[in-house]
Amino acid sequence: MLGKKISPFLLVGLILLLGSYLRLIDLETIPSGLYVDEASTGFNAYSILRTGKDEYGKDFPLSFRFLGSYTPPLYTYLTSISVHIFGLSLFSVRFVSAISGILMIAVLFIFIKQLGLFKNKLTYLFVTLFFAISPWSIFYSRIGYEINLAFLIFTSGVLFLWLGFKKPWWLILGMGFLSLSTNAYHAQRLLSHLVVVIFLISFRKFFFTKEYLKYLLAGAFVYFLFLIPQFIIFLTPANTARGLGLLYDLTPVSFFREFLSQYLSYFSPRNLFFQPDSDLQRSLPELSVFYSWMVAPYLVGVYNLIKKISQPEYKIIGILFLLSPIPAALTGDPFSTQRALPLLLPVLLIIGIGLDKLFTGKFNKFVILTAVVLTVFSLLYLYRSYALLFPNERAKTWGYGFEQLAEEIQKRPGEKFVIDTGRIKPAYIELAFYLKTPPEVLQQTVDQNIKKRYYEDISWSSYYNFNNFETRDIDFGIDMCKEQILVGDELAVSDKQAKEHFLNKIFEIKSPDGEIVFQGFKTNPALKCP
Amino acid sequence: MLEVVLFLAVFLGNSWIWRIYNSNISIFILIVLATIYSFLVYEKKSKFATFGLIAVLVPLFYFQFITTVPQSLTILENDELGVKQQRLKLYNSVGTSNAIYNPFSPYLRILFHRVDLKNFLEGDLGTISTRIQRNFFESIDPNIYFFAGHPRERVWVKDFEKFYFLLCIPFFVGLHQIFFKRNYVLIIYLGLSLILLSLIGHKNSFGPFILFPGIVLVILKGLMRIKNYVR
Repeated sequence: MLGKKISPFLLVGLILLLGSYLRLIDLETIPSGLYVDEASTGFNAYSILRTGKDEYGKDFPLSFRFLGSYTPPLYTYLTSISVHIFGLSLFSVRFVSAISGILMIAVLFIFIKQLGLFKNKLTYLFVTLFFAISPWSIFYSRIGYEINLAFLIFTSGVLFLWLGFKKPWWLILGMGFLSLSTNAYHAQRLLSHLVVVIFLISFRKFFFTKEYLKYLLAGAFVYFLFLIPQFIIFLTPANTARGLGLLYDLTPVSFFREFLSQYLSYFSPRNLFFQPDSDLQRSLPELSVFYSWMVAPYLVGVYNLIKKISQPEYKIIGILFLLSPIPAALTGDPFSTQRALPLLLPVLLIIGIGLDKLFTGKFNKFVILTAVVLTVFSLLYLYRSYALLFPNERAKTWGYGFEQLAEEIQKRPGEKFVIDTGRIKPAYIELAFYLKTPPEVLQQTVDQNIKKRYYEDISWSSYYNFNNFETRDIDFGIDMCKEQILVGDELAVSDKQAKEHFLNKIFEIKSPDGEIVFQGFKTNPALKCP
Repeated sequence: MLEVVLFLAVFLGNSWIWRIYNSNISIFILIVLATIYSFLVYEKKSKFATFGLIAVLVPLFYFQFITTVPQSLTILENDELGVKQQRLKLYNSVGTSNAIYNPFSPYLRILFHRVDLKNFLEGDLGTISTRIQRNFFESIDPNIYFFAGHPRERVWVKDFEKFYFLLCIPFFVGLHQIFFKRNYVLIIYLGLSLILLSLIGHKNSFGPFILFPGIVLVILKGLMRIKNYVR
């Protein structure tokens, strides 16, 4: 029916266009601010591009040291290319992520076509469309750090593993991509290994044969090749601090109980379809990771998945479904949408299975019409949450105000600023980003011993002093007697303190919803310390 | 015989039933009867079990209703009202220079003002829909029953662990069994329970006890399935 009237490829193209639009439109403005992780990524990419060294002066790191923790390097290196093309900006920092999200739409379509899961051709289009408009995917496609890139590489790896059933050499590519994804995001360092091992064990009768042996060995070789950077720093805190540091410290029984509760929460319809991630920086207002109506096809899908689990195309979804939340569940954060992003793929496929069942049932025309109407409503709710509420209500969480603060600093080149770090996210990197501070300046400012013990030293100090500002806590005893501008959030300096110390408020930066983000006070040493 | 022993173990070996027993004997008796009838209906051991189940469920539904602290589906608390007012201001800025983001400003202005989407999204209909959804999704959240809501505890309800956490494993195995067997009496009973809970909410010190018989049965079926699998 569909094929005779409109080419499905044209429709996929339109979905791709819609997905690209949703991932690229106003990329600089939403999220409305620069989160500190984005600032670190962006500035280090800029630093690598300009000097071949990171902010600490370390040559081409194997793992980037961001604010005392370590981040796999792939995203930062790729971002240096976009910084080269577009300059250091919010757009260039988020670009790689956005492109990954767009490519994911195509990869997903190819994957579901290759799996051949659905009886109704419309289901392929719906599932691709659901991914294109998925709040989970859109959210992580529009932020400037590594999660979405890792998800693209991981999914491509799974697709290639699956294609290994057709041509054995795909296995090499699949294993290579899965291994590569471990250089993109920490959670992949567990998940990718699990997927490769469980996949090969599950389909051992097919793969552990004479025909496949040499390809498996080649795949293993490529797999280990991409792991070399991690082997080099394997026993250093750069690798272990993040991997082990997040595990909760409990006795075996309570650990198992805790893990089970965390793990189970990733399958709960309440978390997937209704309640957003409790971390305000990682969630959208009033919208969870899937639209709430999708719970119906999800439940039908889970039922049918279990029913047909012995078939390879269902088995691989089952494997992904059960394995994807493990890294996230091992950390203490409740329902971390960031660490569990790979779960998006199997859940979406399960929704597709359910939808296909409903599309091929008795009232299929009615169901298809309902799905179309609900999809339109989903877009409306996406607009409400992402375009209207999110940039206004979450601006402060997302580092709104640093750009304006950088402008205030630039306006007063001859004056000294002290940025209070009591409750503010690390300001030095945000300001270095917006002021486009030459990387050499920052490299000379930091403790020169850090680069010698780069992968071992996890200590981090919020004290920085470069350009015309310092970042540290305000000292009311000393700072009032110096000619300078004190900057803090709404609680840093009270009206009473301002009066007592003869401070003169010279600027105030407010978030879009009217909350004070920063306020700047000029000291008056002549009156305070005559 | 083993099934009966397991049935009794699951049925009586949890803190939920004894919590109810200590507080309200009428509800306890109704739950005991409903659980036994549910078991008989599932096993098809008695022709009259279905009638018995219906006869017990009606008052049980009633008790669930009257022991739940009523929550309006439309009336907003003060802080919710504040958020709503703030949000309405955002809608008013759609299509104006005050708006942060409006790639289609002129079109959206027409859409939002002519179709009154603002009222559709933030009005009573939106509130009712959100609250019903919240109640529904809480009712089907397994963590509420096996982990006292952990790791996403609810501040508006005093949660407690209803069943021992390890029983969540047979619960999931059994859930599939129940639906696979397609026992419509039980499916309708569970469906009606969820509808009621979605409408009245969860502010009940005994928890959503109308689901108790169903959950016990599901766990039992899961345990039996695991036993057969192990054998």
